[in-house]
Amino acid sequence: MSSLPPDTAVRTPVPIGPPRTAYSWVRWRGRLPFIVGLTIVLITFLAAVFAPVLTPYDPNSQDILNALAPPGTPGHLLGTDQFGRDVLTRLLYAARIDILIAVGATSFCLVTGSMLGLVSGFFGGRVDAILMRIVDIVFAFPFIVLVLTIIAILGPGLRNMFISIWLVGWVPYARIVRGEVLVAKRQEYVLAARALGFNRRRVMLGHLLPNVLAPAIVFSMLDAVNNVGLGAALGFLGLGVQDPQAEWGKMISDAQNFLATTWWLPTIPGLAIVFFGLGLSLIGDGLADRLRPE
Amino acid sequence: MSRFGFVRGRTVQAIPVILGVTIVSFFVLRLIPGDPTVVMLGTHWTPARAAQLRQNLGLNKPIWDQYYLFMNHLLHGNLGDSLYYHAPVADLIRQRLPVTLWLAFYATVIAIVISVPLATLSALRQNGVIDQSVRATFLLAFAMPPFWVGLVLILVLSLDVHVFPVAGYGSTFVDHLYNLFLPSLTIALGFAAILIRTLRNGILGILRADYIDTARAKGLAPRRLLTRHVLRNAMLSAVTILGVNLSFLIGSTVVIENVFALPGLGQLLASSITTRDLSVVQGITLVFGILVVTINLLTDVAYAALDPRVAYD
Amino acid sequence: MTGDGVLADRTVATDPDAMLLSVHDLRVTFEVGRQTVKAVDGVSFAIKRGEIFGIVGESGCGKSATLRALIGLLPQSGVSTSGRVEYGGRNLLELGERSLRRLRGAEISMVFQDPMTFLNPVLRVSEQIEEALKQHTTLNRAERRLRAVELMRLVGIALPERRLREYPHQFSGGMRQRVLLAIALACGPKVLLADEPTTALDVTIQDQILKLLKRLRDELGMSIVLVSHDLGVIAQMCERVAVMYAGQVVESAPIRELIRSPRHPYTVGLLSSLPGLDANSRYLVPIPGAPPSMTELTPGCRFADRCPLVLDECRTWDTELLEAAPGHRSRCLRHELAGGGLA
Repeated sequence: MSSLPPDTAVRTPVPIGPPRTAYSWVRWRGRLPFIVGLTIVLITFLAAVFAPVLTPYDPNSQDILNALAPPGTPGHLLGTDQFGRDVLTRLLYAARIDILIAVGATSFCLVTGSMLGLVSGFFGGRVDAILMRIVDIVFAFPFIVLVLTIIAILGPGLRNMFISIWLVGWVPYARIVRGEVLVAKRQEYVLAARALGFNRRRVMLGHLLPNVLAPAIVFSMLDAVNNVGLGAALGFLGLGVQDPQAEWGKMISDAQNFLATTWWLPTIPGLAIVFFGLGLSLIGDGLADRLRPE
Repeated sequence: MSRFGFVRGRTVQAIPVILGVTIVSFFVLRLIPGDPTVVMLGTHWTPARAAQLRQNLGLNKPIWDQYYLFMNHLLHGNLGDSLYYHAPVADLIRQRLPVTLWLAFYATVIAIVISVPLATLSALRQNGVIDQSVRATFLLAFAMPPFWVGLVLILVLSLDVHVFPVAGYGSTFVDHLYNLFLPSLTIALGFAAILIRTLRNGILGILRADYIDTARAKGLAPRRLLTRHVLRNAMLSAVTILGVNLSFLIGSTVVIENVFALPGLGQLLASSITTRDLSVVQGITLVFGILVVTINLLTDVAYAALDPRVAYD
Repeated sequence: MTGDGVLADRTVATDPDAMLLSVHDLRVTFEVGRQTVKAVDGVSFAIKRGEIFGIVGESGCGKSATLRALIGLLPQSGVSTSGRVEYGGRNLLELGERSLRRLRGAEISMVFQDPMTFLNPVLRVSEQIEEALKQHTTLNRAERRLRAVELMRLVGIALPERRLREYPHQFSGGMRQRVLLAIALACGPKVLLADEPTTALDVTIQDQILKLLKRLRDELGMSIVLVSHDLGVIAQMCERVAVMYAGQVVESAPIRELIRSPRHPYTVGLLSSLPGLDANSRYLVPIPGAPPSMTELTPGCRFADRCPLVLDECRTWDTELLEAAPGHRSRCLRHELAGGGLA
């Protein structure tokens, strides 16, 4: 029985939440964006994986006689480019590259950045000071400028693009996670764990990690969108994926000269980017709502 | 500690960062795998030229000496020479910097003009029709790569309809306003996507603040309430948001300059990478870094000017 | 500077015993998600001119909501109110927003709990006081400034001319509360609604502010509705009191009578959990249990689960305020037994 004096008993009416029916309309509606996002990403992924099955063409096979065919031409659902290569096919194969960028570039940065941020925030001291200096300096440059500079040094190409993103893309994660760790360090559950004598590593991994990673994971979704955009931009500048590989940004760049006459050539790959990016954003939003109830 | 002290403090903090920026730029030429002269001279490589280049850059000296040389040159305004243009890098940058600054500034203005009203409306009628459509639209806009948006805009507004020119910078002030409109709009749309979301949340927070209750209890008319109480505080968060995202804005200029063929730093950067004109790359990287740090500092100053609490931090 | 509303522009026929503000069966319901919370469930009281009326109760009992409902300061969505709030011959609950705005600050003002968050940090104090004047009066800028200085002096802030130009964060807690008072009093309201005005301050400052409020009442003839969870504050300040519990008034009486012979077990509990107030008690006796959840209210007396006098009848009784003595009402079936000898 509570023995609090009446004037300190806090009993703000807190709703218990929506009724417990498992698939109530309210719950679905709130989660809809997340599910849509997930569906989009899944569709893209499946389209990329099953590309050979979905189209009969090879992404690089040229058919000059049929060059610049508009969408709806028999045999070419989305038309062909200036070399007669089927747009739909190239679109699907390009998805592989862009998904690779979204997943490969981002996850590496997420993991390394978070680890560094965790260590830095938890241990503090010298390590932290140095890391934060590095973070500040990296943040002093626009991200794309840094990536471009590294590509300038290493040379263009897909592999170097990954390397450059990996080299500088971890920094925001480190900052986010470190910030969370600094806050969480003072929280009671950490103090409790340490009071119980758990060694530091265990405290770090078992207790801090799950709570501290949430914002980083949410950020990673937006970062993935940015990375796809970055990869596409580099492809557009001719500094990313090289011929004859298909990548959405590169497809747009290739079509630049034909802007006036064949509007679909640059538009369609762009729509693919938007589609995929939207999916990632929606997942990101959904995760944000889930992980941080307002 | 006064506001001046705050600004001075921030300036002091910026110095090591600028130093770091110079170091990073310095290493652009020194981290090239293999023989840097081969990369830099490309097809024009001859032993004589290579030796000359090594001499100029001091590549044979110990790294500390090289850095000293680099900083020395820098402080005298010497950023090396472009092997492609056969001209000092500093000159090239000086020519092109105004274009980039114009673009960045113009884009910021357009972004603010779009974002502030929309974010305010969104927040005031939370979850209403306007709010939902604004959020949905800009969710979509966020996923659109800026260069593609630029191309689409060109397609629609320049080629089909001939409202705006396709490329180029123009020569007079009005020309600039006209020519730079589409590229600035392109950047602004992407920027607004971030700005609106954050600003909206900021305004929602302000609307829930206790001092709004006091203002309502005074019987203030809604317009007065809005402008004096809400917007004044919203400006503060807007400045912070702008500051945080500024480097993103500046980065956007790089790609957009290439889409619209604008003679700015971004276009120079892209072409210099292709021609492996690394001295130029080094110079531009440095300039961008200093630009970002400077603008962040200015943002801090603006914030200090707006928030009376700052002096007492 | 009398509390005649908007700087004595109006002549109001005043019958000193007439009720200035009377509240009948006020109900405020919040819709939170899918739940309905009856925060205020049938509250009635009335205040005279120049009277200090107290509402006491614990957090969540609905006292703040009551106060805000009087001038329509509740959130705009998900809230419904019913009942009558009579002031100046009109039912305030039926007034549109525009009319309410004319009232707020000019006739009925409100001060709040935590002066730090209730003042706009980016505006000077002078602006925050003068905008109330600008809204409700026709004074020009110089006159407004003069009035602001007077107000600062009235609430006891030294060097008013200088301090007007400062920002809220440059004042201490007690000073900020004085500023809030100055804002509330700017247009000479007839009624001041005070929602826990001293809760966020330390005890010594608290005392100063309360004395200031009393002085203002004496000088300006203003009525005050003082809401607090602290019975000590209420006892010090108020002439008549209503005790609220779980959205309802459970007892109302003149203050001395309430303390000397409480007629509701909850009030008894409140009194005995405070040191020194009830001379008979030697121990601090808290009330066991906790208030009911406001989303799952059962019929009958809401205090039943915690009441030492509870009978089965109490849980099915459709509660109402019974007259325990002249001017003294209680929502308890066994009010004759409650009070005295329970501590």
